[in-house]
Amino acid sequence: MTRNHNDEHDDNQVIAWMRDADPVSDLTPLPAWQLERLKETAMTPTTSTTPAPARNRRRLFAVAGISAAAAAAIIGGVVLTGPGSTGGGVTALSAPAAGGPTAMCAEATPEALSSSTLAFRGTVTSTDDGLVTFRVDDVFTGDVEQTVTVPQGDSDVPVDGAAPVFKDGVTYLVSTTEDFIKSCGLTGEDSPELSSLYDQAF
Amino acid sequence: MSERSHRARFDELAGAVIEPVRRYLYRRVDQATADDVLSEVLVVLWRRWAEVPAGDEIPYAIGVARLQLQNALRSMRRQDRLIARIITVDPPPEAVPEHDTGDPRAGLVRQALSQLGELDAEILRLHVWEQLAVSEIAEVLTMTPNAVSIRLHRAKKKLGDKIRKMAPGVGHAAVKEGDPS
Repeated sequence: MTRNHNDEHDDNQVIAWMRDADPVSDLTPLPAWQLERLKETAMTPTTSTTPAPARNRRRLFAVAGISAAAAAAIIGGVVLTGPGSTGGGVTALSAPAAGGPTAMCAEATPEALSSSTLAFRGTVTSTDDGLVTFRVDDVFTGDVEQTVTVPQGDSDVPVDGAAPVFKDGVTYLVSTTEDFIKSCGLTGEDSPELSSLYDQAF
Repeated sequence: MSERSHRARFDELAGAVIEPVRRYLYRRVDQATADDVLSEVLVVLWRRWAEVPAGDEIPYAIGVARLQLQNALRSMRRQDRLIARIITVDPPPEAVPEHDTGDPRAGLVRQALSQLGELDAEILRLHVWEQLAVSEIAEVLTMTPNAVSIRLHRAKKKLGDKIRKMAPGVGHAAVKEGDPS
């Protein structure tokens, strides 16, 4: 028997041992009604927030690169260059949990902002194909890449909590809960009032 | 995409990935945490349906589950630290399910697995338990397939060595058992 043959045999043996040690080999499939409930929950907007660790405010310089992306993926709790994404130092955000006719916004306060996962000042560089791309100018909290993308909001849905509609060339202050954009006045055009809120929150 | 087709695509996606993701989570954490994270994975998939690569739904979803699980475990550790500070007792260890299958060799394998580096162990788990191909593991872990392949090869050897060292009789007998020479 050759050495390679032995190695291959050993490998197969290890795999067989591991397969026998699978802790869920007898797990029964999820009942259909539970899957339906999970799907319904997934499609229902939530308002939960995850407090972000306090960080020193910092200016963003050249932080693109794999290590920065990896750190952000771990610390920020956001899928940055995760499976299927193109990578390249882009933070991909999601539109907020959709508002609706019954949704109502609370007053925008520094306290509401301070629980943000990410918060940054960014200028819109393009709004093509329903995707808004930001160049990040300033980071208040969280690990944000130099470029951030977020789905464009729908201007035909002028209700509380609806996704913001971003305009090309305009500078915004943007905050998120995990990777969902905060709405309700907590994300908006850069203005002295909103800037003051961000300064108080971070 | 209309709301209806978004829903239909999500139904299809959820049906395809739910069991692989559920097993992935149940293999790594207690049931309550696994159920919480499973729910969060579906939320992410609902939001990111457009980014899910056709044909690679399962590795993509497991990649999402992996990151969500890391978040959940970090959060649990933060809570543990807080509790430890307040009541000055040791927090419970990070939840890893203890499945008593009654097979002592299974316990031995899991013990040996826990002694490997986390990345090596995870590559082995993804390969053997999740039955992912090298390219799919690479996608989940955002590594190159070549790096995964090399690590997988070494990890198998390391695990085999550890098991044989921990239970020389088992390993020796097993090697002899199938040796045609």
